[in-house]
Amino acid sequence: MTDEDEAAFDEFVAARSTALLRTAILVCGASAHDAEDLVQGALEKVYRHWSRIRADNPEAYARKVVVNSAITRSRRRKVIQEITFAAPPDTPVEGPDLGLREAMLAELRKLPARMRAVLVLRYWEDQSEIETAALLGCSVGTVKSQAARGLARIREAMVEGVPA
Amino acid sequence: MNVEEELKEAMRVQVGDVYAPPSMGSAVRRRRRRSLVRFRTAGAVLVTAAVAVTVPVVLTNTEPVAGPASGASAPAIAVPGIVVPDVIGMNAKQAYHLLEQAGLTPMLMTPGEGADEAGLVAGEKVIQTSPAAGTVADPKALVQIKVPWVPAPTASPEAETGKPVDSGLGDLGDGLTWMGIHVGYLPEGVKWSGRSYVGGFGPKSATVPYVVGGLEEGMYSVQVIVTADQKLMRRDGEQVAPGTWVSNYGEGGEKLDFGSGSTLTASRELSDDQVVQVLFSPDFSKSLGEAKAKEEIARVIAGIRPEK
Repeated sequence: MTDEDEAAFDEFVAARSTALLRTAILVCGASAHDAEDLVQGALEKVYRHWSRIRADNPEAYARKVVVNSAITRSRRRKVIQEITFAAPPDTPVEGPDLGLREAMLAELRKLPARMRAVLVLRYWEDQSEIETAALLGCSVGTVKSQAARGLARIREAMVEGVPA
Repeated sequence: MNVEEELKEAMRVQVGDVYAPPSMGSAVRRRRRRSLVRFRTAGAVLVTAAVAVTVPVVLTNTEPVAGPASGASAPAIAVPGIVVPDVIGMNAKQAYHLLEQAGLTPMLMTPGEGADEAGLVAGEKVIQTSPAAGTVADPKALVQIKVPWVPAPTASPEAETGKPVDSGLGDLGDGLTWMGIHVGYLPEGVKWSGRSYVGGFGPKSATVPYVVGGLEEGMYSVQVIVTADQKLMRRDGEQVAPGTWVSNYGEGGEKLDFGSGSTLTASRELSDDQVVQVLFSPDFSKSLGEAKAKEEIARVIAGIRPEK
């Protein structure tokens, strides 16, 4: 790897790591600290192949690695949570002070990881349906249906959840 | 407001205030590279701390919602270029926010990053941006934010001259005897890298990296550090022998679990005025597995003896 490659990598990391970190937090529902670890791991993969991919949209590559490892991690967390809280109360005690936004985020976290990733990519990152499909390695149709179902579930929960 | 918009806003509230630490790039490299100067790390961590101090009231009150990182908000589309706002004198975090909202890509510079000397933040007010205020930049263009910094203080006047120098100790033969110590045991396949560095870890300090075959230049597998600086003596890990502790530490010296991103580290009081520390690179530890790596690092540090 040449010095110029190294410098370009530094610039790439400085410019993109905050955006990647935010996406990772939203997709895997982890703390900033865990998400940082995840992004570091993804950037290391980018670094390893940097001389090959730097000319060829490294951002998309990094985002793909981040999103996919966030999905994996979030699935693992779910398993752990299900084991730990074998019988959680079905309707968590939602205080009336729980704002609409927090309720939405809570609902978002309850969605299957892949569906959540679709919502994050579409509505947080403003990625097109085609881009989202490419990032997740699925068809545009799947993106459409997952986004619609995810939004519907959140909307439904909002309608039910609104305190009278 | 529809669900999409509401969801977007909820996401913005959740992560809008999260920033990647400026040390991310070096953290990524450090997973595979030897650390030459531990104090440099302290510098990088300080930057994070310094910018995390305050979110100015001005900013928390300005609510215009810029699109997340994309700069896709209306004004960015309406004009072909974005005038870089004047953020000199602002708190670094405030400046970051503002540039981001303007549709640019702010980049907080780590003092001394890439330079030979490590640096410490000497203030959190922005002294310079590049490109400068008033320049017309493309949407999403990179704008570097610089804060004042001073060269990192070394642990004692003695270490002032202690800039790490390649092959600082000269030809060490097999590389096992140096600075009054002898490294009696190394894991199989690990050999002296041919390099050594003086002074990076405080007074009377030196460090020698050892490598397994086929490792790229600049990488290490096992690194041994000798110093008179008691700060390197970490007693907060698992005690594996009298005066010897083992644990995993992250970029800023914080304790972490075994795994990539943390460095398996053993510290030992060799004598009253000498501390030795052994580091296994994250890659090397991983290749051994946690149990084996801990066993091997304990053997390496136990095998070090004073050599008169």
